[in-house]
Amino acid sequence: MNSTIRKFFFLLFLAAAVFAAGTAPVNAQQANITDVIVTNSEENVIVYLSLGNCFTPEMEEAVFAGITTTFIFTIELYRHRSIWFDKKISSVTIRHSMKYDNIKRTLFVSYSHRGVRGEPEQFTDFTKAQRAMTDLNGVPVAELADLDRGRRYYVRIRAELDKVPLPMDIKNTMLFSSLWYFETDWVRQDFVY
Amino acid sequence: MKMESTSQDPKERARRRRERVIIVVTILVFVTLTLLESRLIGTETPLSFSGEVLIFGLININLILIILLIFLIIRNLVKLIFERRRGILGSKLRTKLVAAFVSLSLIPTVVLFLISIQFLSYSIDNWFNVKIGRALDSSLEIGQNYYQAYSESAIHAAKELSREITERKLYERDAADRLNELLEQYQEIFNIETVEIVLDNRQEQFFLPHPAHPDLHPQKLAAHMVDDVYHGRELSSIQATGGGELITGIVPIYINFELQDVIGVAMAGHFIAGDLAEKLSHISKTSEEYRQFNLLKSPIKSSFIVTLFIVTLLIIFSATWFGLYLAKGITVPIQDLAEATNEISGGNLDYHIDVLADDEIGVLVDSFNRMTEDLKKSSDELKKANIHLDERRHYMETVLRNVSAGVISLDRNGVITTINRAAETMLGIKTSKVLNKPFETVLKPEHKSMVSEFLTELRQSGGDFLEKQAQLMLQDKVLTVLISTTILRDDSNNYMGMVVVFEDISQLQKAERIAAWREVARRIAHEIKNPLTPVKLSAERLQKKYGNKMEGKERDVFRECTGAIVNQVDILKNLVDEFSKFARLPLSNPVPNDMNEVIEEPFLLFQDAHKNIDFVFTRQPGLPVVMVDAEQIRRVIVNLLDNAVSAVASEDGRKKIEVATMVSPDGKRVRVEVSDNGVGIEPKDRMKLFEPYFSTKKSGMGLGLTIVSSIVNDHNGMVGIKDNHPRGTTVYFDIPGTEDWNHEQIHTDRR
Repeated sequence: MNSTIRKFFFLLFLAAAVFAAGTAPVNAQQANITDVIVTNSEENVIVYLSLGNCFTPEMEEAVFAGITTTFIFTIELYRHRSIWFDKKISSVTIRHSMKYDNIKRTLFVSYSHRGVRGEPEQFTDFTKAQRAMTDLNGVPVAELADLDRGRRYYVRIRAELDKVPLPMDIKNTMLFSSLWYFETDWVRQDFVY
Repeated sequence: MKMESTSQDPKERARRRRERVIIVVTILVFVTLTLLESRLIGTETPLSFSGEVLIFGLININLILIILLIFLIIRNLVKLIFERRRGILGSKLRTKLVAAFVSLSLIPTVVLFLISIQFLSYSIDNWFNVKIGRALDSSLEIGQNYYQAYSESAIHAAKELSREITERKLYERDAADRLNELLEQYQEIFNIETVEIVLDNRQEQFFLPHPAHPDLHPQKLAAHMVDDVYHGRELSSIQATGGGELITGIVPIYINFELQDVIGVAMAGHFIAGDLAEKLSHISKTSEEYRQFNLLKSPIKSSFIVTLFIVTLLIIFSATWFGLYLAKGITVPIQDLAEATNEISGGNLDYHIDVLADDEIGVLVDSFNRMTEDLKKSSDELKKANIHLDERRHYMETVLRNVSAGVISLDRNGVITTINRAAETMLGIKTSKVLNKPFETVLKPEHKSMVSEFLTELRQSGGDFLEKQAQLMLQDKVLTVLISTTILRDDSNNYMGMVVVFEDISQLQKAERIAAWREVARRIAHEIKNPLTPVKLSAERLQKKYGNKMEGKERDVFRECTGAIVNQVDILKNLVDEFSKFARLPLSNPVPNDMNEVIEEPFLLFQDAHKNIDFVFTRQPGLPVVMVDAEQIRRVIVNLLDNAVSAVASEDGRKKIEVATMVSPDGKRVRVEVSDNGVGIEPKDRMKLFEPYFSTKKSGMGLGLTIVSSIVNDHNGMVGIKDNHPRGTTVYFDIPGTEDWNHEQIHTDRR
């Protein structure tokens, strides 16, 4: 076999390997973060935001099938530096999980902030439960004491859907399929303290 | 010498071995990783991030391995196709074997794959059987109704309580005791486990758990619930507490019904025991899983199909690879054998195949090697025998070539197969022009009739041998040859051709004739000359004594008669002198001479004597020195010129005689040619010209050319006669030159 054919097969193999290694979830969707407000309380920098375009009909169906859906919000606060990398002041991860109890016909939304899980809230109305999942209202990101007056800061926010937990016996068979998934772009909000 | 089989070079072999190792290792790693993955995924404990990364990595490595395997096998197949197209030995058999293996594995695997898919689809569909779904839905509905009924009951109790509080204004600060009483009453009436009242204007909490469930705690309302209630909505909530679940009805308490002013919250709770709650939860969970399975039906099915597909591919590829491997094991030795056969048929008997297998193929290769060795031995012996035969043949050819007799052999078809050098020279032919041609096509017409007569005579004689003397007229000479023909027959007496041997006896015959004629001449001279003198003397004496005594007519007659006797005796004496000269030719005394100088003197004499004839003497300068008796050679020239003068033509008024000297074609002899433009000589007379007493002239004894021939022969030369162009005759003679002398030496020597 001449070298051209050998090269062709090598490239084919390489392409296939790269394709196999880089398999991405099939049902990625374009969720977005809106209504970002960065303000302060007496002691903290607090953030308000809303996540849009995140619930698809398939997800709703999955929620009512009892699959727990979790959104992970990552909020990072940086101090701007002109001649060096910006300094990360703090990073907060908030998890909003939704679980439907079909016998009670109730949606349970639970919140976890900095690893601390709060008491789940009950909803009989799906719209309200959705809002509870997508809205962050006055999340403290950092203490004001950590900020210097007159300096430029910015908040970087990203939201993603956590890996869908499946029953164990299903998980074994789902080697080659991937459920829906989304991840927003980083949203940046600048401010001067 | 031992030669390695060259079907595959060592690099190619090493590469193929490496490929096989890669394939085996790939399969092993794939199997190991798959087992590891299933073990990791199968664990009940949730995986850590690193665990997930590990699984992801393993899956991807597995995918890469599968692709590598596919790549290697497809590459082998493509190579096989290319080899087949190029017509490389063994590729066809290998293709057939691989095709057989692939077919044998492909058909059952594909059938099994299709059946498995069908079976899988049926099984998965069966999981979501309508009946099961309906039963599950019914169970769920019962559970839902149960919760619904309790919720409604709790709300109803809470509403009644709220209404009573509003109507009886139990929210006022001094009505605490009555409110507690009311709670107790309602707990009994509605058979509820908890009653709780929250009023805006009171700090204290009105919570009454059922005495049977003292561990029940007051309800914590979520902000959105409080908001809803204060907006006048009635709610229910279910909370896990006290080893069971508490279904609470939550309703607003108004200050009065008209204003709809909410001043507090009334809550009534039904407790569901733990075991019942657990059963309901189990129903819920089962239903959930069923729904989840239903939801994931398609991905699960795809997942199974992909897994099956990969397994099928693995089986097919493994079978293909095994086919390739097995085919190689069979075809490589066959290929080696085929190549070896080619080499051996091409004459390379040193070829040796390395035995790579210990099976029947190995035995075959071993036998082949032994056969080759035997063949080589036989071939070597044959070669030796051939060399010996060749040497003998060469010797025979050398003998034949150097035999003085001319030898020509013909095969059974009359094709000339052998001509030796003597035959070539004798007959003046070239081997290359007549060899391998039928003898009839190369014979001249005058010779054809002679050969035909000869063959007829041979046939008529009935024998296999015939010897006959014949005269052959060639281009410029006539040969007297003794032809001996022998028929060749093989051991079975089959005719194989004939051998014709020519022996040139011209010189011998000529010498014999001259010797005979000399003897005749000597005797004639001896016998006739002696009586001639007394006859002449007697006639002269008669004339002297009686001539004057007679008178008249008698005296005239007498004188005439005696004169005639004397004249005739003189003529007879001349004749006898000629004979005598011929008979007593002196022995030649050869000395170095320049032929041009020797010829010069007689030529000038003739030129002076015959003014009416054009004499031309063409001298070639630088002739080799010849060892000749100058007197005898002059006599030769005189005789030749004398003949030429007699023969020269006079019809057209231009008589011409040319004398030319030249070097013979072989460069070793000097040739002298004397040409006239006379009428020429008939071919039939040419043979006799050199015999005594043959002459074409009216006068002459016919001894001139005989003497010429005799003298030239004495000088080891050769006389010939040929036609002169455009007319006349050329007589020539060749005398061998000598390299021991040069012209200057001759002149010095003479001085």
